[in-house]
Amino acid sequence: MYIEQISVFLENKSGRLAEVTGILAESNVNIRALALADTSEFGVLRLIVDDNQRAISALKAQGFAAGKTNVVAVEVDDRPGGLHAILSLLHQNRINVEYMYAFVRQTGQRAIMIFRLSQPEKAVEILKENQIAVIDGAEIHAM
Amino acid sequence: MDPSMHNEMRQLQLERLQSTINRAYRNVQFYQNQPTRFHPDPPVVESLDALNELPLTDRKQLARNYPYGMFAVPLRDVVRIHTAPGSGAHPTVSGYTRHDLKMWREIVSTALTAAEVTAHDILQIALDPGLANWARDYKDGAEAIGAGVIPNTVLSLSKQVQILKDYRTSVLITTPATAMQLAGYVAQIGYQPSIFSLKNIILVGEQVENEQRRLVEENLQAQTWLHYGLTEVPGPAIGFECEYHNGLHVNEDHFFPEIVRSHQGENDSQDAGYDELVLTTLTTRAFPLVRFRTGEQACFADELCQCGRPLRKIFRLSQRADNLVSISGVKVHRELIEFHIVNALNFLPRYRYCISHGNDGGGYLELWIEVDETFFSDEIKVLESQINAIDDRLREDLGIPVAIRLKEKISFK
Amino acid sequence: MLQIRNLKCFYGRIMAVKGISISVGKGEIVTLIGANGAGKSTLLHAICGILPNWQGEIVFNGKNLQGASPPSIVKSGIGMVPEGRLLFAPLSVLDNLKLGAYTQYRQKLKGHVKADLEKMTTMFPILRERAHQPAGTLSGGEQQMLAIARALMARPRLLVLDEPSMGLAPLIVEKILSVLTQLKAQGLTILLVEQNALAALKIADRGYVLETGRVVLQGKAGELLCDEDVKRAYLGRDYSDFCEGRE
Repeated sequence: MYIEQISVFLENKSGRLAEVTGILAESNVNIRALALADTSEFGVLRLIVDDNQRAISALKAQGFAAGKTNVVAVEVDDRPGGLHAILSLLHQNRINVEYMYAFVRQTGQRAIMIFRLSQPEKAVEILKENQIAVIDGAEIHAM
Repeated sequence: MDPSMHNEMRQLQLERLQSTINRAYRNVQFYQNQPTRFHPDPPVVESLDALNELPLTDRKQLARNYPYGMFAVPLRDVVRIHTAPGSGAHPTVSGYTRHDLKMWREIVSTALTAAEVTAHDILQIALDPGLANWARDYKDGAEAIGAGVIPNTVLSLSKQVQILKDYRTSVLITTPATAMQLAGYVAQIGYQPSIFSLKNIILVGEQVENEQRRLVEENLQAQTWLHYGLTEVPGPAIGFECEYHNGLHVNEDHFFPEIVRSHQGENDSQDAGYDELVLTTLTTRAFPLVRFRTGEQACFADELCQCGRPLRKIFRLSQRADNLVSISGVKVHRELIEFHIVNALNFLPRYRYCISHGNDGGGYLELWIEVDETFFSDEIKVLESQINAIDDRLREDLGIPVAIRLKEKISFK
Repeated sequence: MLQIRNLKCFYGRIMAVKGISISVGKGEIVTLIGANGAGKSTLLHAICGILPNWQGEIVFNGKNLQGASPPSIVKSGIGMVPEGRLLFAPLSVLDNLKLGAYTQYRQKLKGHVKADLEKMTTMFPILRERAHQPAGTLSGGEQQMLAIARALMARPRLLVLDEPSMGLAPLIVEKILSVLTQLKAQGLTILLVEQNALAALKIADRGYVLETGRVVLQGKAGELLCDEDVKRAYLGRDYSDFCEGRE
């Protein structure tokens, strides 16, 4: 039900991001979704990849601090208000969104958002109750 | 120099040294427990040279004897206690009897008089909060000379400058960093130095480069004088410049200086060692220090000064012998930084720190923390709250500006 | 004038003085205070050559006194007023005084003696009164005056007194000490050992506090009078009134 996301700590130095993508490329890891959150000093790179194991060992070998986090992938109606419906639902149920980002996909396919939530288990339950599709890990990694 | 004067001073020092040692070993358990060849009796130091038989005292030992372990008089005789952040959970303390305060007034006035301060002067003190103890000592010493004193208040630069101008301050006591800031500010707002009545600026708390001194002297049209003291224990103006501005005279009536070859770590072979300034108090009653390691590197001047004083001069070297950094006079101990990191994070990551300077010349502590898996979170707010936890603790304890930067492993190579 | 460094004095195998350093400058009154057995008298005996084996340095006006005999020390200019006066009781006051001047006789300075006798009897009128009485018939205070006068007959430059107030009434003690102050005004240098710390510190310029054979404190007399430790151990009461203006 959850997706394992990889997060990497980066200093705000030029070239660090490129270094990460380079390492992943060399290890034949495919990036599915990516978001970079930054402060003036550092950034946290969040990745959904097709092979977590390979990605993490490659990054650690090169001295990067990398961790794994569980996130929830949700299918969003591809129309105005689609995202809003999901966010209000979560808000009504007092579930906080720590961060979110979109999944890279080709046009014509479903719109998928990655959510980091304060109470993922409760969130998944509520989403399913409201007929909102939660996509599980295996499906995501296979995309 | 008059040999009889020299001989008299050495006799005075020997007498004072012997009674200090007798009092220290009699009243302070720490000294009583020291292994000397005279143990359990107090040692007999037969000459000033023979002092090097006795063991050295360092800051760690002072910290271990918190709170009263190093006091040589009953607590009821202690009329003032100075405190500093220290190296861990406890502050560093130093105590003074009424007699000690009188001695410090003398020590400070000797140094001020050498800087040509007289009863006709108006003396302004502009020191950072971390040097509040010194601010009091300088005020007392200046008042003993009869000078008018504008004591230390934390004011913005522009207000300090206003007071300097409007109250016709003739002597300013401040840190090199603040003096530079004032000089820069004055130049920036276009004030002509002639609007000030400033004659002498006494620089305390930190070392200063010759170019910086010249800059300050040019911009503020006043003569600078260096003083040297120990911020935590025991006090200011232990060393001072005379009119020849060539080294620091040690106030040898009250402190006996030695230069001792010390080693930093346990592994002596790796470390050639440093020439460390070691001080023994000669007149202090509440808190006698026998062979106290200052952590400063220094050397003695080869000859006595042209000014005629029988007091030996020392030259400080720019690098410290210990691992302390000093910001605006506040000593920052490695142990204290670790203490706060561990309290905030519940473990100790790899870290590094140094003193940095902002654009305005102000000094701050820059602390780098290595991010590894134990520490790392995917959420920025979590990382930020960890930084803030360390920041708050350090700022509160030290009272100096702090900048904490999270770094990758690669930055520590 | 007098510099002592690392003086160690022995009674057999017992070290009574364990490395004392003191100094007395020209024209000063310096007092040594401390409890019985602290080593004060022993120190004076070493200075005056009465103590046979001491180690360390005693230098008087540049001259090392190691091995010097008591007469030569007196000739160098140190006069001693011993504890208990030690007068020649059956001899008259005048004879006691003359005996005090024996070094002057030996140096063929007979002329001095007459002038000095005159000076002494003027300074201590009671001695003029009792000039021909046996010294043993004088009162305690008068004997002390005689002892001091006798020592002064040798024209010392440094006068050393061992417990001059011993056994004397407070009023007499005051008189004796004011004599010392007078002598200082005339240029004499004085080293005074006293158990009556308060009285001694009141007239002294500087003092040293001795405890079991060592110096534990020294300083200006005014400072010592106000010192908490000294007050507690030797002055007995809170003499805050003496401290006003002395600090």
